[in-house]
Amino acid sequence: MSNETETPKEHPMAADDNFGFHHREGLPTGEHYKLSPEEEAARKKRNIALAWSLLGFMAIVFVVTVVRIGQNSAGAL
Amino acid sequence: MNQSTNDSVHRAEGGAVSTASPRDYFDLLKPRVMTLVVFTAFAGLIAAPVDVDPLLAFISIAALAVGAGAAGALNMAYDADIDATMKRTQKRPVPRGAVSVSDAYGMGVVASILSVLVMALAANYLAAGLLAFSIFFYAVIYTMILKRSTPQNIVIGGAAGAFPPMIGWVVATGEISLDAVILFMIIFLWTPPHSWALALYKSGDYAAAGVPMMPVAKGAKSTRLQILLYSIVMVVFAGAPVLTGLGGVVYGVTALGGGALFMLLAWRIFRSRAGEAGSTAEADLYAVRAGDKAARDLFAYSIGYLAVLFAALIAEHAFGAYIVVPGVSA
Repeated sequence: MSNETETPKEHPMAADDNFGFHHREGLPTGEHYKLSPEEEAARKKRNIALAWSLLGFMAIVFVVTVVRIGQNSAGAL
Repeated sequence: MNQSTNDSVHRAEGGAVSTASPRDYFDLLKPRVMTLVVFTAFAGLIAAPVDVDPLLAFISIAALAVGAGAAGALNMAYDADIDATMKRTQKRPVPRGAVSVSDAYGMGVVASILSVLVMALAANYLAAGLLAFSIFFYAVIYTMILKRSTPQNIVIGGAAGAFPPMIGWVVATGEISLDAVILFMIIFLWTPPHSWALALYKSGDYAAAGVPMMPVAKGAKSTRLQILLYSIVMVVFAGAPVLTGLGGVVYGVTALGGGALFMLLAWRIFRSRAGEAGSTAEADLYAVRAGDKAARDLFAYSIGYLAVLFAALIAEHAFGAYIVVPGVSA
């Protein structure tokens, strides 16, 4: 039987994954992650695509609402 | 104290922030599958005997496309391990490492909810319910349960891909009628010969990934026979719309001609040695290679066959090409 005691392992990405906060305590670690130009460009593209998707969804809900109101109004006459 | 700590800057090795592009996320939706989904759904919607507001119809079809794509994203998230081992799927965004599994799940779930919500608003609750069920069927019943456990995976799972024309029909009419079931059944019966043709010439990939596709589980000979039998049933059933008056002369001629060629290709596979790997004798290798080509031909043709069949319905119902088949009441 081994007498070695295992020390609890720190999660390897603990600091990085929590963007400057300790992963359990929620305290600032003083560490920050600086995006590379590629990461920054990719994030910007994703954000723009997401914004367009949300705008598209809003437009769809708006159009459906207008058409439905039109149909119901026509039906009520 | 090193430089990075001084500057309160820390860079994780290999990068912790994704460099995935919107295109990678779009690829999660299986755009090529979406195309066929949109097309068959549009055919169902156009063939239905009820006019629907064009704007609402367009939005409903778009919701269906997103719903189908969402199911594809969930499929890619769950199957990332086997996709990574198969040549055909290695370049998908998740096994390529462009998109994480959790992101793929997230996108799949959000897109599923939004697509069903939009379908309920733009069409009706029945269409939304069918869309939700088809996503569930593909992502959970097929992907998570059937695919890795039975050689009948695509026979039962094929139902998920058969829903679009039925949903298109329900968008217009609000009900499931016999014609909607016929459109569903055509794709349902088309799926096994289509998928098994692919599985025959990719059986090595499926075996390596541990997916019990028919050629892997039951052997190439049994698969070739089943391709032939399903093809016969499907080609005969494809004539059903003519009997109900859903399809006219154009559809009937298309189904007849297209079906004859489908049968010819299925017969070629049946007579070939497609999917028989293992032998190293030169003559055997040529025979197997020729058989694999027959399987490739049927796989490629089957996509065109289905597209042309539904295009005939669109031509008849949207462009005035409908001519009643003599002896059948329209």
